[in-house]
Amino acid sequence: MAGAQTLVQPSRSKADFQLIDCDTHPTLPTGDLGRDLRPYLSRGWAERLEGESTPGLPSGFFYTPTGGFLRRELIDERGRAATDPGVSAATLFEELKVDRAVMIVADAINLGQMPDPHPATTVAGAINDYFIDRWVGQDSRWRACITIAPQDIGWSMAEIERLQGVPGVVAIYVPLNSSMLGSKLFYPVYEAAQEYKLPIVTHITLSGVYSTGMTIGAGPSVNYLDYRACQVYPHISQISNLVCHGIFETFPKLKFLFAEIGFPWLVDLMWRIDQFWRGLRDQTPFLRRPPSEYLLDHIRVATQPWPEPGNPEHVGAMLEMIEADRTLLFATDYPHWDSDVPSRIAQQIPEHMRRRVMVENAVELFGDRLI
Amino acid sequence: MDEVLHPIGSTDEFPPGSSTIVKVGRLEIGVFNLDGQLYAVQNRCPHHGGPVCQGMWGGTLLPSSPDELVYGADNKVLKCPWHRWEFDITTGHLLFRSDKDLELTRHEVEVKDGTVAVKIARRIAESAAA
Repeated sequence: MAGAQTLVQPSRSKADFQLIDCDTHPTLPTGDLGRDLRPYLSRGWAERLEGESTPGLPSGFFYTPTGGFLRRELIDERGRAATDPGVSAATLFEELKVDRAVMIVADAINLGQMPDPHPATTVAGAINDYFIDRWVGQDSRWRACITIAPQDIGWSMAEIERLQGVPGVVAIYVPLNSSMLGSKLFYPVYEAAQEYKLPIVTHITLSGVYSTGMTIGAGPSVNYLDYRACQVYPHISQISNLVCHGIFETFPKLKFLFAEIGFPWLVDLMWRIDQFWRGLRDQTPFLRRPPSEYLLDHIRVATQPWPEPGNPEHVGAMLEMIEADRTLLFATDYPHWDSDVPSRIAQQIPEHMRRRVMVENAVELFGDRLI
Repeated sequence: MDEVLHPIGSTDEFPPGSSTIVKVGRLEIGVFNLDGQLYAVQNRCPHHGGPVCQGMWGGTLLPSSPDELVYGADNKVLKCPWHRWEFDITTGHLLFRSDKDLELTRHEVEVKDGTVAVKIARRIAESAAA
């Protein structure tokens, strides 16, 4: 069980690090929760969860390309990838030379959209135990997030308490749903995060499909292209919500990593929120500084998916605008079909920012737990 | 460029409908038999260097009006497994844009006396033989 094993940490300092990957997706072997998580569930729950999986794309909702979100060469005979820690370690740590990989478990990504808090919390807890035990336990270069369930903050608090001291744990993962992050409902989680110096990690989720999830914007996406074009909007809304509730005044040490939504949208948000704040300051008098400063101080973003504009110089300009030397963290999104190769991303980052993005911003965000 | 015809196998090894990746030293070439005609392209996507020849090989939906979907280009289209960019294996052309820098590298194929050969740079053929 989690916490029972002793981790042997490779003896190196953060100065030795060359590459930190803040977004990887280890996956349960079959996706059948009762089967995969059996050793980490009570007998009753193992039976109840037999044949069940966490929410995914329902059939009939835009076909997924190339057989899914996975790089085809990584797909196993069951049609899944990243289910074997040894195989994934070989790819990430040996081949791509990643020093530490933060795991955002694939099966937990849409967990927040389960309407019933009982299986949601049970599954979240079992997933935490499974991946700490079998992935971090097998290779100390993996780093785990404490997956919580926004459906049950009380349980989430207890789970944070249970796991915050476990070697290999570096963050709290909140699977987003229709709850807004700025809501007071989340305060106990933020207090704990601040107390234990754990950043909060979020990830792109399925949106605009289930009523328990976030909406996309005006309405459902018509096809997969439309979905990919617009899937960042609900996350921008969540980030604005955090700032406009004054969360970062109430919790000045709190930091968030919003994974897999890229970063160009941040430029528009920074400019827009500051522009209107100048005339609407008295709507949010608890914001003592321009809102964009809270964004740059408290929100971290990941490189994946890396933008591909017609003029590559425009990306460089954007990196300057978002102060990427402190806000941006490298991610592969392994094993998803559009995951980014480290060397190709690194060479597009101006040299004075490169090590910050590829290593140091992650070290700063996750702290000593990363090392 | 100094090129040679490098034999890669007998015609039996590349039957109609087959797609095969052959290695010549460090060079990987995908060989496709489209209705008896052989095409060979380098197994390297010009986008991010992915193993394009391992992608889905088939037809695609052709440019059309929004009211109708037209399937075609049967077995001419290779979709890179990494980001799904589509290439015409008969020409190497990228489907979404005409761009010389983003074409698949093609290798001429010669079939003679039951042997299939591809045209590759001499130095690659020599280093493979070494």
